[in-house]
Order: sequence, then structure tokens, then C-alpha cells
Amino acid sequence: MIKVGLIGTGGISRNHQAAWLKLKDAEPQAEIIGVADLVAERAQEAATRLGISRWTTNYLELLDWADVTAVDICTTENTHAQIAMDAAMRGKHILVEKPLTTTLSDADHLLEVVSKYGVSLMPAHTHRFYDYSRSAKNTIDSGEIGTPIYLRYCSGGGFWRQDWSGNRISPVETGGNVLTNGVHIADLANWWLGAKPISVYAQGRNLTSSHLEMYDYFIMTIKYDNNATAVIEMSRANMPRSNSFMSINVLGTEGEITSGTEHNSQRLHGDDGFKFVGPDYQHGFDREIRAFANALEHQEPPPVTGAAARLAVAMCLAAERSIQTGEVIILGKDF
Amino acid sequence: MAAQKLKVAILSMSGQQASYAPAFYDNPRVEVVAITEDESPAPETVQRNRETAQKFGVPYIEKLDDVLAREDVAVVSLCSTLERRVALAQKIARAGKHILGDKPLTNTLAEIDAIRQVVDASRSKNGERIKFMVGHNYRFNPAILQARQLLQAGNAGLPWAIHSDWVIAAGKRAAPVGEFRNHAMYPLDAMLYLVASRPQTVYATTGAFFFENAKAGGVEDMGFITMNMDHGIIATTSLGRSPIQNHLNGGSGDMTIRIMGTHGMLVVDANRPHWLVYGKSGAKNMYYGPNRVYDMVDHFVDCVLHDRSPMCGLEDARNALEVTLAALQSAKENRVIKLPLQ
Repeated sequence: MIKVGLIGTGGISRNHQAAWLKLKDAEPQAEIIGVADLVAERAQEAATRLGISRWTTNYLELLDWADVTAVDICTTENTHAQIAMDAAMRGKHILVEKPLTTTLSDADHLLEVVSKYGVSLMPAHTHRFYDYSRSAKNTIDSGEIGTPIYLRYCSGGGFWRQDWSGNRISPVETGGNVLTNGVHIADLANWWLGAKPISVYAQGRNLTSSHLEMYDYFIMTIKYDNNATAVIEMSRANMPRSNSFMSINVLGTEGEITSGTEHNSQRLHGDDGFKFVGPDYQHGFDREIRAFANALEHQEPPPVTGAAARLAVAMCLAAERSIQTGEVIILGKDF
Repeated sequence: MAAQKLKVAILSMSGQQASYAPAFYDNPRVEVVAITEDESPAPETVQRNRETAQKFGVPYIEKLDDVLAREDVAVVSLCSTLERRVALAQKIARAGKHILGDKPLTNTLAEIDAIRQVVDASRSKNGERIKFMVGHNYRFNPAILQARQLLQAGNAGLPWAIHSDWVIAAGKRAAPVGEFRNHAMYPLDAMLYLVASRPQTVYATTGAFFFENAKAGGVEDMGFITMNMDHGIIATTSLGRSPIQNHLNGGSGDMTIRIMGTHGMLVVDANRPHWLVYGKSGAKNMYYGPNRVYDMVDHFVDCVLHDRSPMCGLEDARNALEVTLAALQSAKENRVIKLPLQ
């Protein structure tokens, strides 16, 4: 039985908790045995929800609980590096929410420590575990569309459901929208295309408010060593905020696959007008956490590597730089 | 007394003339009076010229000069090989005839400027300005016209991004000049028209992925263009020709444009309206809207008859070509190109 300490109980952690709960009676068996959160009420609430008694406001205390063999880090982005290093140095295996870190030096340092202490590290790139992404990957790998040479991924949406007190619009805490959300699809693009990114060009806007210090809209153009191009567009700036438009297109040398809202959603004509009702997204978390537990159980390398997560961080930091300078950023130099 | 029909000569059944010529022939305000040709056309072009002349019941006049000398001919529909186009356009304009010019109009910006100089200085026999329209026929696609009306009326608020995917399908080979030069003007012209703004910078990637002739000829069959425009608008389009033979839209492939604005989003599909048909020959989307080439020609006829400037003139051709050339340079050098091109 894998015994997990959960660090961070808000936001995305709720999806992780639901996934861990499903593993209690499944194979491999795993359970959360303690939680840590800076806010006592939140920690206590999560413990109650999980049916456990141990909670703390200090994650270092959680790391000292001897029966904890692995941690699941769901804290704010800029705290991932320190917490993960502390966990590694205490011999705990690590599932860490994306982005791996908010700087490249942190990523390099963390990967060194992980390697030195011989623990398993799996970055939570959930998009590798969704039905949509796996079916696409399988189709690409089967050769059905030849070699993929153009990927366009558009994820539209309205502004975050928060006000100035929320941390989603804090560039310091999140590392910026391009990083924290862009890494998902940067990693997905690398995985689907199976090629090495060589340069990034990006454009960004802060449309919702001129006082916003991050880009609520960005589009990045990635060039690969096999000359393929990936275009990743993510919006939190659409109006009306109900906009949930999404489209994905992968063009190969011998074919093409397309999905997105017009292909994956049900259509509700209700009292409030027309609405797309998209598929469930919990299954990605369920599968991701099961994959992590499975890797630990069988002492296998986790399916997403630290190196892959570092590369996604590098691409998104390069994109941030590109937005600021207006220039193409070559990867491998500073990034 | 019935109004006089506009007399049109069809110059060379090459390029897009196969769609322009019937649009003139079927136009109720037009009388096609001749098929004509310039010096040393390819034998298969001569063959098509003769066949079309026969089909339309008009003479095939082998010397363009003989047609240009005719007082009654008001319009020439100009198709030819790309390298002869500048000289032909100038010659026709000097003869005082209005021109529908095939796309791509020229290879370079200087060539467009050279045409414009002569067109601006020339007058028709009635003393009117020469109307020069370029065959950017997607400007007349009903979805794009409708989108312009919706945007102009503020239905999406102020546009801040416009994104297109424009990859035609069922390709057998790439256009010898490369797909950017061959048809980038369609989405580019439509995009510039839709958001009524000018591009400032261009970045692009290209490759020869699909066709042997593209690889051998060193031209692209697929690529991606992204621009920063006035008003902070981010504008992108993919652009190419795929070898996919079973695309539901047939050769039309993907032709979509998405506009995002401060108050809404508009998604435009140039292949709509259509029926989805599951027939004996397979599944397909069957487009059933107006014919954009017919509507383009009708607009041009209108402009000639009423002395108005056509929608897609030399300036529009120049704007689209400038982005195209910048994109090709950008892709080659993997860097951002600033407009205007020097």
C-alpha cells in the first residue's frame, strides 16, 4: 500500500483527492494518510473529506511522518521546487503539479536532487492521460496520418473565476499564465509530435484589464527539428466569459485529425441560450494518479519524466521572453 | 432601349480563367466578344482557347493587339503566365480597357507598383479611370461577406485576434511557385478585410512536407503565418495544400477564420452552408451557397458600369503580397520581419 502525504488542498488538489479516493479499493492500492495546507481550516476540511485524522499547516512536519512514502504536491507554482527538494531529500517519491518549477535553475537543481536521492519524480502533465490525448497519440503512432507536421491547439475561455485576491493572476506566484497553463500543451505537443523543439515565437495580450500583470491571452509558435510547427493558443480573455471554444488539429504528411468543441461536446439549447456541454475531465486525473501509484508499486520509471517537464518549462519561459522582446527565441541557448 | 451589354474579351484560358470566363459568359450584363491570346502560348492553352471560343460561340482572335484595337471592347479578363503579366496589364491599361487580373498578380511589389503607375495614368475611351480588380475571389465568399457585416456592426466588439486555417486538400502536387505565392492572398486578403487593420510584423514557418515537386523545387507546400497588426490585433493563418484525398470538403479542405473581439467571438467557415451527404460515392460536405467567382465578376461589372472602385484592387493585391513575401523571408531566416518591406 502506497501511503501519500498531500501538500496543498485547494484548487486542483480537489481533483487529486477524488482520484486518490478511487485508489483506496483499487489496484494498486494507495491512500492519502495526511495532508498539509498553509490554511488550517482548509487542511482540516480536506482531512475530514478524506476520512483521515492527520493534518498540519507545515509541510515539513508531514515530510517527517515516517509512514509517508510519497507526496503529492498541489501547492502554488512558485513553491513546487522547494517542497519537492525537501521531499526528495527525505526519500519521498514525488508527484508534483505542473509546472515543475517556475525557473529553469530551480528545475535543474530539483532534478539533480531527485537523482541524487534516488526517488521517483512524476510531473503532473494531466493532458497525457486524457482520452482525447491518448487516442490522438495512438492514432499518430499508428501511422494513420503519416508524420505529424502541423499541430494547432486552441483553448478558448473567459477570465478566471476570481478577483484581485486570487493567485491565478499573480505572475510571481504562478510564474505567469504562459508558463502555468502553456506547459500542459507544450508538453503535449512534444509528446504527440515526437520531435525536438528548436525555437519559440509568442504573442500575448492582457485584455481583461490594463492593470493585469500577466497575459490572459497568448499564442506560441514552436518550430521542431523535423521542421514541424506547433501553434498553441490559450485564452482566458474571451467575452462573454461562457466562451469555452476549443479546437485541435493535427495535420500529418498523409492525413489529419481534428477534434474540439464541435466534435467532443453535447449541445444544450436551454433557457439561457445555446451551450456546449463538454466531456468530463476528472478521468485524466484518475488515470494520472493511478499511473504514478502503479510506477511506484512496480518500481518502474513514471510515464512522464522530469526532463520532459523541464523542457516544457523552458519552452514557456522562452515564450514569455519572446512576448516581451518580439523576437524568436532559440531553445538551448538561454532556455 | 435596352442597356448596352458590357463587352468583354477573355485573354488566355490559363490560370483561373476556367472559372472567370464562365462567370463573364453567364453574366446577364456582359457579352463575351472574343477569346484572345498573347504571343507563344503553350499548345494546351491554345487548345483550350479554341474549345472555349467554340463553346461560347465567339471568335478566337489570336492577336491581343487586334482585340485591344477594338473600340467596343471595354474589359479584358487577364490570365497568363506570371512573368508576362506586368507587360500585359500595362498594355491593356494603356489601350483603355478595364482589367480583371488573375492571382497572384505579380512576383514582386515593384511589379505591382509598375502596373499601378500605368493604370493610374490611363483612361478608358469614356475618359474614366481604369478599373483594375484582382481575383481575390474569397472576398466574395458569402460567409466572409456576412462576417464583415457582423463585425462592422460590432457583433464581436473590437477584434483583438483573428485566426485562420486555410489548407486546401486533395492535392496531387504543389503549385510550382509554392503554396504561399499561389494562394496565401485568399486568407490574408480576407483577414485584412475582416478586421480592417494593417499588419506590422510577420513571422512564419514553412516546409515541403507532402509533394515531391515541392521538395525538388525548393518551395513550400505548407506553412504557418503569424502577424501583429494595428490595434494590437494578433493574426495567424496556416496555409497549404494537403494530399488528403477523402476530405469531407473535397479540394476545398479547411477554410476557416475565427475572430475574437472584446464582446464576442465569430467562427467563419468558408465551406458553409453545406449539406452533409452520405452518398454512393462516399461521405462529403456539399456546399450550396452563392458562387463567389460569379459574385466577384458581377461586382466588377457593376464597378465598370457605374465608375466605382472595385473591392479588390491593386492596393489589396500589394498588401497580401507584402505579407506573403515577408512570410517567406521570415521562414527562411527564422526571425520576425517588420513591415513595410524595404
